Amino acid sequence: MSRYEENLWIITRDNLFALMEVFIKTREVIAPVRGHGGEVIFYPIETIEDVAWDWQYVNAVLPPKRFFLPQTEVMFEYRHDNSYKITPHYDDQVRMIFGIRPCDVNALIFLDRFFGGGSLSKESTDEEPLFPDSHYIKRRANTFIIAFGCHQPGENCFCVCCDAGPFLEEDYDLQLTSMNADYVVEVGSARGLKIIYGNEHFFRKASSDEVKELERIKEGALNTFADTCAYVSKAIRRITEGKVDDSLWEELAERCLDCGGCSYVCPTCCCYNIVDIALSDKSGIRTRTWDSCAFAGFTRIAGGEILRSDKKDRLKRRFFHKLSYRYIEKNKRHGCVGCGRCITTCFADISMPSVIEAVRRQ
Amino acid sequence: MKDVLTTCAFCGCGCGLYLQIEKGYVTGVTPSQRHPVSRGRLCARGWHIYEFVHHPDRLKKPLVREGGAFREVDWREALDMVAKNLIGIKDKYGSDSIGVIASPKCTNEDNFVLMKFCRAVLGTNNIDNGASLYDSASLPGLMQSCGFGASTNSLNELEDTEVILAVGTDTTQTHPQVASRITRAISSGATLIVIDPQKTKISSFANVHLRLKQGTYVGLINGIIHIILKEGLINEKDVSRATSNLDSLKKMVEKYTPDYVSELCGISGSDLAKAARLFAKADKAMTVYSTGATAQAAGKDIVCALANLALLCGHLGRPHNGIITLQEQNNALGAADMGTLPDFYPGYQPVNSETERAKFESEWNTKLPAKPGLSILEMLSPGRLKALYIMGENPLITAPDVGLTSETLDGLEFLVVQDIFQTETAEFADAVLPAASFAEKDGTFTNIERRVQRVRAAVSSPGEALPDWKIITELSKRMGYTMDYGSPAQIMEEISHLTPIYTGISHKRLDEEWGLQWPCPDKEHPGTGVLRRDFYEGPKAIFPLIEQNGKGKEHFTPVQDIPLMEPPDAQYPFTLTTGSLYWHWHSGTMTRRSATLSREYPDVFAAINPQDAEQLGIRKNQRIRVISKRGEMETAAMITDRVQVKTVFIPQHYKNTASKVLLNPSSFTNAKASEMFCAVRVEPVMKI
Ligand code: SF4
Ligand code: SF4
Ligand code: SF4
Repeated sequence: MSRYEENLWIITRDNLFALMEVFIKTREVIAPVRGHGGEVIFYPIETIEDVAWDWQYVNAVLPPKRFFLPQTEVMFEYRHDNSYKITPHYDDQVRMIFGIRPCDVNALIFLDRFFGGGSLSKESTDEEPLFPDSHYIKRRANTFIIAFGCHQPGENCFCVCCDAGPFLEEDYDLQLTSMNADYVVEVGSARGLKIIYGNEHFFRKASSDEVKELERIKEGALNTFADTCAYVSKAIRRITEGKVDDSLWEELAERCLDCGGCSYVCPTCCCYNIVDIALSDKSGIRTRTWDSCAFAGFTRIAGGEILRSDKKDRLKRRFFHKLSYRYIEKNKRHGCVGCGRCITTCFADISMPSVIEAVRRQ
Repeated sequence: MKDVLTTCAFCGCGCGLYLQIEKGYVTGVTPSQRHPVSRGRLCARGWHIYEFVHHPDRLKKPLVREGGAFREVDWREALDMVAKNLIGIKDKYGSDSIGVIASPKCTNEDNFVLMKFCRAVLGTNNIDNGASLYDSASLPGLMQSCGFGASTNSLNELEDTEVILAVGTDTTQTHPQVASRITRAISSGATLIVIDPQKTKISSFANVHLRLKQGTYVGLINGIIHIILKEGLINEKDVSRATSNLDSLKKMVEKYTPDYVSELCGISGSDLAKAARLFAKADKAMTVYSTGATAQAAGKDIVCALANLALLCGHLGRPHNGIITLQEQNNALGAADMGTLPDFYPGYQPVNSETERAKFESEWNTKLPAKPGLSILEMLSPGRLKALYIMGENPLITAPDVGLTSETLDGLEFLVVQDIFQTETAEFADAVLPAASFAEKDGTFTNIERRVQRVRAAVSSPGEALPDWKIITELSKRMGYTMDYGSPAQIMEEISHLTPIYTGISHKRLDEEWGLQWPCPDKEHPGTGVLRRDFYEGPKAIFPLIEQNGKGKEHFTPVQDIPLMEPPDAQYPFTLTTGSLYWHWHSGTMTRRSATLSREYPDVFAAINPQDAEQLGIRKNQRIRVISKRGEMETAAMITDRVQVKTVFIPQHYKNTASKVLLNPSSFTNAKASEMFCAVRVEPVMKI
């Protein structure tokens, strides 16, 4: 139980707008906005009107992952005249992500452990990271997060099966949920509380009726999910025990088009490739770019041999990593947060739900 | 930081994607979720399209040849020098001694301006675009049969059709969005018929795969038509209402009996009959074909044969019934629409028609040449021209014969290459002009379903590189003809004014929608998803052009099979074919500079069938020699049953591939179509 639990606040829509206008002036505020033709993307906003306020959409095809791990980033520049000189590149933009959904926050916690050793939204990490990633950690530290609880989950969502939504229970700063015309604010961290106290005139304490109403909203949201969810644990068990027959992966491999989209849109996928680009004989940059286990070249080793040259092995690997208990134990959570993006992006309809379903049928 | 919605430039599907911008650099892409083609998906090329944009090899300053080397100069010097030389050559040898190669990779606006420059300033119709190297067949083939030289239907219709006939297309490699629509259709119960010598990813889903001998497509399709006629499976209503010339088709296919065809093509008669019945009996059926069918001397005949088949069964001119031509280059259709063709003005208005010419002459205020110009293969043949102006093309890699092409380039008095990288072709140039990439300019591309879509500048060009259209207008000014365009939007105004199929198209409208499919005859017209039968009939025939070409009706064009130009023989028992890989695109100039894409197949290889490998004692990755009558190359062997027995496949994208040395030069002498086949012998470099 969070120690900020008792702190339920209410902010009116007008006050929220006013508060956000203050933030927009002082930092880059990222929010889900309507792009061309009304599609939703995470994007820096100029005014609070830009936000897709109806919250009625399938998750934006790219999660806010790119604000912590861009598809390409320059890590450092190097020069060698007589000796090597390395100049690191850091993104020190102060940001706020507004309107991020619980699945994506849970995915960030997953990335926190990978890059930083534990949840970075807590005051201290659980364990010392083996290789702390300063690029990620800096971006994460500079980003404040205001999450939105999903009172109306999208049609592809299944976070509830992955213990990643539709509301956050821990590891967040502030969580807003829309209630009538106003918003209930749950506080999940000291950073969050500081915002409330720093802008107290915008907030008021929630009444006990409002606390009850929030519970009702949460219950109601849970009831909107389809119940195929029940098979997630079955898939976890069968994949962990190695009881999924290869014929499943072979069948899926026939259709997969090697696009890599499943990794790129997945908020927990964070494999990357390192590419050095020479700018002259004496200088260059080291970049890192997103990479995907869907590509055969991903396991190319010196000498040209490819370890997972069979598509079926690559698909198997992907779902093993997401679902095997071995990894759940290591990462302390699921590799899938149920955001449903792979449903949108896969050319071959090889999504997490469809694979879970196929495992059940096998 | 902002994201800019634009159109993918790595194939003819034309996916919508946002370029992500950080501090003036493109750092990634986001697929557009509501775009009718991408629908939230991109293939690996699309996901990595940003990688070449900021590559340090990008051309940043104009280069002028001095002795054996290039010298960096400023724009003024470069343009003055190019103008002076072009004027000199025009005066000395005449306009028709100059040729222009336009690019299916550049925007419509770039191509339009180059086309106008060629005709109005240089004074010649010697203009063609690089797509003609692979597909000079669709335009005349489809135009002759259906009135339009483009896909008749939209991509999304594939998902709801009953039968798909896929001909000579490795769709998953070249057009992933189309491939995924085919597999979706199959999931919902559609039937797939594949006609292709190679095994492909989609052929594994086929109900019938007719793995014919290379070079026998026309015979096979005529065989199918023969069965349909014999079994009375034709769509009588459509045929009598909307077509002409059935009797001569009947006569032509008489000899293509099942026995004759199965012998000719090396396939089973029962498979042939099965394919014929499936296609003819379906209520809805669509045909897709690609370069596997078009890049050969018989290409146009193959397209005509496919159109005959579709017409006969009523699978044309209705929703979910039509022909989709899968052009590989992102703007292959647009470049042709813009009249970068030796015989057409924009919108396929013939140059030899007095009225059309008069219209352009009065609009452009100058005299225009009447005689159709040279095709790209003719221009690339040694000795035909004195000067060549190439925009965004790399014929040294893409034309079928590297030896002849370099002889041609060497023999020119003056060569200008305008590109984003120093290409292999540019090494021969007298002047190299640095151009903006798709991420740095505004304009439009037209995809394979005739959808004209916006391309938007997201970052500034490296160094002094300029958009192609801008370079041409600057040059034109120096040659005494002013083209005053403030922006690509203004160029589009002129395009729509002069091009009936683009009349209703403007950048403003395109910005409000997901592009518009031509024909779009007026400002309110919503664009045309399906080229319907009633376009061609009576009072609704909206364009005189269509009446002219289609004679008011769709037309059967009987064709007969012709052998390959160089069939295999005892000494050269293999057929060499070339084509595309999923990971690369075109001459590889861009994809070979993408770390992620080039990691998959960093080097060229030759694929052969396991049966041949065993016979010749060749193992995986072993060095082998591929030898034709004209030359030889050494490469690594890939062993896969995807290629037919006695076939070698060498991908086209690599710099050091000599595959083109081996290919058939007769495509040059023969004329309009390049044939991407020849006879070769294969042997291990060292016997193990
Ligand atoms: S596997 Fe699919 S549903 Fe799960 S987190 Fe990744 S993209 Fe979302
Ligand atoms: S998104 Fe689908 S098609 Fe693309 S690599 Fe992943 S599984 Fe394959
Ligand atoms: S399918 Fe074609 S247009 Fe779409 S992302 Fe791939 S290369 Fe680009």
